[in-house]
Amino acid sequence: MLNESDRLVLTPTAALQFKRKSSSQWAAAGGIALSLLLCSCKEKDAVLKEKKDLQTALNQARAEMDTYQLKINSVEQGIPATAVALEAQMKASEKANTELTQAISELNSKTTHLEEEVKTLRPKFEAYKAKYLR
Amino acid sequence: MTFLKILLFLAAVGGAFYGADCYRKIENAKSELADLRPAFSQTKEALSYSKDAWDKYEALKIKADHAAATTAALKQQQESGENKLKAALEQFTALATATNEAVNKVRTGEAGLAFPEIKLTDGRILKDAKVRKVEETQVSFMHSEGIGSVPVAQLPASVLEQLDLGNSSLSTAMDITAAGLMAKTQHLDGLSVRCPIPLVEKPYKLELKAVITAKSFQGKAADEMEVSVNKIRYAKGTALNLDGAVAGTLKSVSALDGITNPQQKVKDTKVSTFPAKRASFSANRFGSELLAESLFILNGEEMWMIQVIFSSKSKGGRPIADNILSSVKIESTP
Repeated sequence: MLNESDRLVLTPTAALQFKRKSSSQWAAAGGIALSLLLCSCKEKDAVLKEKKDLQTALNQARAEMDTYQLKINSVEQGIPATAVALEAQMKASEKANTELTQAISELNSKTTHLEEEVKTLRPKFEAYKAKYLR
Repeated sequence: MTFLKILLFLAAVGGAFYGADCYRKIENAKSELADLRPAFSQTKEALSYSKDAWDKYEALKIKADHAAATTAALKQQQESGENKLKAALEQFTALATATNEAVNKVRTGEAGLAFPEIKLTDGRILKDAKVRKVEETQVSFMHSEGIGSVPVAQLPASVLEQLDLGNSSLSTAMDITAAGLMAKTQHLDGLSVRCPIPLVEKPYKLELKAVITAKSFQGKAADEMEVSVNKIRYAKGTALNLDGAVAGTLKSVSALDGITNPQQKVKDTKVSTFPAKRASFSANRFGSELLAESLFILNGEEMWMIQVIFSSKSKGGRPIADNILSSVKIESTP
């Protein structure tokens, strides 16, 4: 790659000076000018591509950012306040769930106990009734 | 040749202009890039912050929603469990009512209850015995030699079965089940007890120098059962004696109006690793039997006394009292 100062830019004075050169010198100068031109074009393309890519990435990031911002703005009380409320709500739910699970287990155990008692006592009662209440 | 030179010259001039244009565009692009890079980096940072905040919020919301959904599902389960229990209770209550009606019918003689001969376990024989009154711990008979009460423990198995008394009593089993269903663990200032009767703190004062604090929790059921839990904290260094406490209680109960033939059995036990005494008291009072099951616990300078008092009329009295006392625990202080 050429540095900025290395690039060849022909001025009319320089062109007149070339007038006195032989045809091979002209060809050489043309060749150098052409290759320098090609190099410049190549660098231009690379820089423009980099710019375009960066611009695309920036646009994408901005679009994504806008999407998040929209989501964040949709939370009425703002995220920090809502998060605090959600934490409290979650803790309350977890406490309620523990209590409910315990209550359900107690209910089920009572029901099972009662059902078993009825199952055991009913035939005994029927036998008692049949024997002593004729 | 000249033409070629002109052509080359023009190409060189054209190229020079094109090169200059390229250079200008590169410089512009580079300058724009220099502006874009920090903007991009800033946007990326802000995006990362927003994304992080949103992700955290969303994760929290999902958790909170999940917990709330679980609560809703559990509430439904609880409702369904309550309905099942209600149905089971209805069945049980219907059976208990029918059993009590049948047993009462037999006991009150509507079914023609009379025994030509009852051989008691102590060897006595009651002839032409008719049931007068049935209580949970004793039965009064009218027989050939007069009227008398017989403790349930002395009745033969056949009479016990017919009168539905003793360990295999159906109605007692149902009463115990009902009491168990009503029982709730109650926490009373360092002691927990599972009791079907709600215990409430009542004023309690002991005019003794050595007593620092005294608390009493009491409750009463409709069928003559009373439960009390007393906690007494003594001054440091006071010599405490469980036997003394048991004897003192026996003395005070024996001094009640109408008490005759007081009897007490005491045995050593432990409650939550603390030394304890279990006392069973019985006495006759106003034609019935008065019974008390007590538990005395010593925990350093603290003494606990848990007492269940009931009469021979209390249904399922002793087993319910046993269940209450066996549920007692001393809770560890934080």
